[in-house]
Amino acid sequence: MKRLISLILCLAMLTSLSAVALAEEPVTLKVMFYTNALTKDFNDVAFIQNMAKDANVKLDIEQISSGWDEIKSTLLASGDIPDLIIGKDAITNSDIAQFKELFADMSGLIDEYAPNIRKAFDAHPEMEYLASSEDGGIYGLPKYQRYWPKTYLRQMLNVQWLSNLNLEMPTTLDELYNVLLAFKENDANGDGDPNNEIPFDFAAGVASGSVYQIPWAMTMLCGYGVPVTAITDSGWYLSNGEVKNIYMSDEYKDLIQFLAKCWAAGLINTEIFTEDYATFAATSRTGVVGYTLGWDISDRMGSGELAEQYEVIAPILPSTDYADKAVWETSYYTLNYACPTAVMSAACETKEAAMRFLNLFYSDTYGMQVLFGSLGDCIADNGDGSFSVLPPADSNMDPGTWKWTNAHADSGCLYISDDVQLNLPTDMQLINKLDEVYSPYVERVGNDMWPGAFLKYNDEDNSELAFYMTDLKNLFETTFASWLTVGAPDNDSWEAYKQSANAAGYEEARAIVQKAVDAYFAYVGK
Amino acid sequence: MAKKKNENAVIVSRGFSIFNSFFCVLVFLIVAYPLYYVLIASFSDPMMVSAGKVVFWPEGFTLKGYEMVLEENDLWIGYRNTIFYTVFGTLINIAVTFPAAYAVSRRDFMPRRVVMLLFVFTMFFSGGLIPTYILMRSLKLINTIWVFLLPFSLNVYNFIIVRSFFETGIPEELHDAAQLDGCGDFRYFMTIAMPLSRAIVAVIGLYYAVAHWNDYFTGLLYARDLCYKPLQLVLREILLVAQSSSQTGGTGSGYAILYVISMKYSIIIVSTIPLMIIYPFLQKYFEKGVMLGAIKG
Amino acid sequence: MITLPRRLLDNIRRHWQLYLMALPGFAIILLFNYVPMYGIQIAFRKYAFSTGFSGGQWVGWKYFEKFFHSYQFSSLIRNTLSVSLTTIIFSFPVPIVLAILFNKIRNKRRQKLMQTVVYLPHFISTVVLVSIMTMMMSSNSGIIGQWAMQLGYTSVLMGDPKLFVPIYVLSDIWQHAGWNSIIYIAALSSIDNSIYESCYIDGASTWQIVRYIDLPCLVPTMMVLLILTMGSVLGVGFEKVYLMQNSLNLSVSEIISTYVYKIGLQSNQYSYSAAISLFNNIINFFMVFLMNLIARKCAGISIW
Repeated sequence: MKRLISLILCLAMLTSLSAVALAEEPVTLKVMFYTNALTKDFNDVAFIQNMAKDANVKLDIEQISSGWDEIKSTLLASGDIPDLIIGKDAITNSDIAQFKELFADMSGLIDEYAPNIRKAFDAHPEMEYLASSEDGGIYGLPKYQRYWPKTYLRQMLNVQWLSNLNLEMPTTLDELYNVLLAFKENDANGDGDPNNEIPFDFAAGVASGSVYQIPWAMTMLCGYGVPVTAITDSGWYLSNGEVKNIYMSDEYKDLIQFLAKCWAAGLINTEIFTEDYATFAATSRTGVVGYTLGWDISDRMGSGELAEQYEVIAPILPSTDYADKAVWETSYYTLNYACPTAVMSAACETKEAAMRFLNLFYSDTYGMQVLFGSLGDCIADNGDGSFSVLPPADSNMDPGTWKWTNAHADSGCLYISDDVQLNLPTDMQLINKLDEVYSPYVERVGNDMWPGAFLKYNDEDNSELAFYMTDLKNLFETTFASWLTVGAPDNDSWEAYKQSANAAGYEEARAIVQKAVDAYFAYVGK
Repeated sequence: MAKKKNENAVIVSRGFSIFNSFFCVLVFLIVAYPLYYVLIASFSDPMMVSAGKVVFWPEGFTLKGYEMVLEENDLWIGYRNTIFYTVFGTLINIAVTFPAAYAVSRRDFMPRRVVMLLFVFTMFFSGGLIPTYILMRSLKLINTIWVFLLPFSLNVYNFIIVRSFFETGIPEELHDAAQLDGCGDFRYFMTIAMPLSRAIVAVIGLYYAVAHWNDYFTGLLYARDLCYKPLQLVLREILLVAQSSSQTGGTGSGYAILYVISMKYSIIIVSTIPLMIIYPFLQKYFEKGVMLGAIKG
Repeated sequence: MITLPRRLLDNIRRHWQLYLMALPGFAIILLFNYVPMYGIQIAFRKYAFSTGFSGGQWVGWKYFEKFFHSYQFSSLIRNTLSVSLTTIIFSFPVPIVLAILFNKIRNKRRQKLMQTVVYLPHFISTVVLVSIMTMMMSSNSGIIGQWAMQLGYTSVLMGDPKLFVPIYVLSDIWQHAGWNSIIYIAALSSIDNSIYESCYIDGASTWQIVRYIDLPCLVPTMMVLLILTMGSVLGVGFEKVYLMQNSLNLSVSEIISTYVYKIGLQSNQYSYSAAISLFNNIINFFMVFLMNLIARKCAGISIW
């Protein structure tokens, strides 16, 4: 009895103590989140509210999902920024360079108030490199989401159509051409209409956030041994450490012949340049597409029976000579790392509280909730120290949509430490399984894997590069489109094209990128 | 009497009449079909829409798009705000534009050309987004209803139309006569010029109202809280999901894509219907004889 | 000889009511349009946040020269002009024709129906308009696209560089001609019926009535609108062209405003984009000035 009383007293004391500690009026933080349009209002999202409680802050949330460019430029130039801005691509390194006075240097604050971030930096020193600016300060925080695969795009082929038409799995461009031609000429899907098949469909001119991507068919350059990265619009790649551009490569000159031949034969969807992504996504779900590229089969074909007709296939070779040269598309660094994903205003009056709040994004419990959604709704605690991502509560939704609706997801500021044990959702498990096809090819890329987020430019270089790339991208995009649809270039027009690129500043742009790549390798080498 | 006048109103030759009827049917079809298409697409299964199966009537009838649009709580707040901004904004616009245009139309107003030039100059030169934003901030207009009502409440384009109407549409003799009767400019403007300009008030009012209705930019830049956001901003956020697309490294959001196609057409219907309802009411002001009838009376 | 200030004071005293009426409008313009105009100088300065818009190193015409010498300069000007001039030539007369023809419809209810229908497309937002266009012209699913294919037209309608300007202009007419005719319909409403009646009794043909009664009534409005339209010679709206752009038509669809958007807003080049916009606006202003001069000399109509 006595022990019980003392226990109760003890507890009472503890609670009153903590009550005293917490009685401090919670400060209000103005936080701006840059989210996907699907994402729910964060005022109604449990994990965000729990984080606020844990950090003892009150959040004044503003959530932006469209018109960000306009909003950002007025906020920055007028100096009117909230305490925290959180979200990938919200504030860029070039914004930080240009508006340095606006942003707080968090390096000191991290050591003092953010043990989780410190721990993350110690476990993954590359994160600290990513976050550090030229002057050694840390103005933006990085994310690391650990689980994402090395590859962004996979190519998939309708194998049911192959067997309907008694065809072999194609391995070279010529074989692929014959297969596509057979898809076109026959009623491959067996619906009675021989004309509704689209043998080859890919996205061209698709944006993810504010970043446009190269036409997806350019990943076919991987068959030639060119390590393409798809989540970029500028087409840079590495060849033994040297920066090159896919649009200037001889392999491209060769591949475009093949693509133009396919176009001329009516094998490629004629609307690739004009349709929006929604239409592109809907078309493949109607069961008329033979060969296409995308994130995964269920993303492109839905999760119904149609998906079972498709298989992920290995890189297509220009000829059998390339069998031990071929590589596959890699976007590992872009998929798993980003910086900055969160910045703090220099004018923030409660930097300590803001830092405590940011610190939680790097904790084991909250990092995964930022990515997948709240514990309980989207993640289950298995009780043995491990967690599982739950399937969507709304059975109509795919896991991807569910994630984007309930969490900040890939756009968030987050860190998944190597200690976290998390059972991934079905779509991610599937991806990893699909990638077994590509792993030998991805291995071959080795050190030429595109460093993506790790490339850092100073202010001057950055604005020069932007200036050249505006013109170069225009040139690259238009010639790709016109060569594809009108006819591939002969030697003269190819040379003329390269000259125009040089006139538009190709070499200057390349040198700037090379400088950034060299700096990255210098860091890695250390 | 008025009725008879209407019947006689249009006197044209038979040949012309046939040509005109033919022309109108053609125009009607060209304009109406895409609108009709939007309507039937809003009731159709999104997969059918993308497959091009929807041509003359809804395929795979569904109200899912409407359900999803109407479920958005923000939509109703946006609706309320937009109606408020449109009604009061337009009233302020008219109250600012018409007197100023009247003044500048009078030859007695000495600085008329200078004022006109100053006004026209602003159609071409502006300080840009950021200085304007800084101004709004220092006037404490950001995140208030006033930012939707006051700034730019005089549109120079509309102003010029009104001014040239006052100059050419109202006979100068009227003003002379009124002046002889000892009628000042205030009274002349209120009791004679404005009533005579009903048609132009209707047109300019409509111009302003539609501009308010379709304006998302003010909301985008200057409204921070949901309670101030206009309808178009709310709708735009939904629409842009279709334009942008797959997420960087995100897993697919296929379901979301279909949901957007469904909503796209329903949104057009939901956001346009109120304006479609207004127009027939305004139309009577464009009818013949409005002006001279008033003079006679 | 009375000095100008004296005359002005005198004028104010006599017509104070007019001054009072002009005051709110004048104040609004002064406050919201002229106060921020200090921002223009950034076109001549190197923008830096710490120094703001009025500080920053003075670089003179540097950014203008950079634009004139840029790789895309000539194609930007060419593309912008071809879009704007075609739009002016073809979009301008259509509302006038519509207004006159609608005015001649005998049946009042049909007249109202026509007016209501043609004005509706104006309310469709640009984002939606472009997506409807893309949908209808798609050769996979669109009614126009499939129709064109049956006629043996093989290129992609929304991507064909030759078709970009026609599609832009036609859709512009489709969307705005009805709406723009409202102002002419209102102007026509000022013509009294008795005038038409007496013309008819005098045996005038329909064409003569249009030529001698309707058109002269519309001329002042037409002139004013034409002058103002000339102000958009380099000022083609950004949004629709941007949404219609794709890599197939980019060689003709990259115009000044989309270029400014790409280089300015997306990569923070405030000074450079301000310089391009300023150049743009000077040309536009000059065109309006010129047009106004011609109109004043020839028709005695001036907007200032």
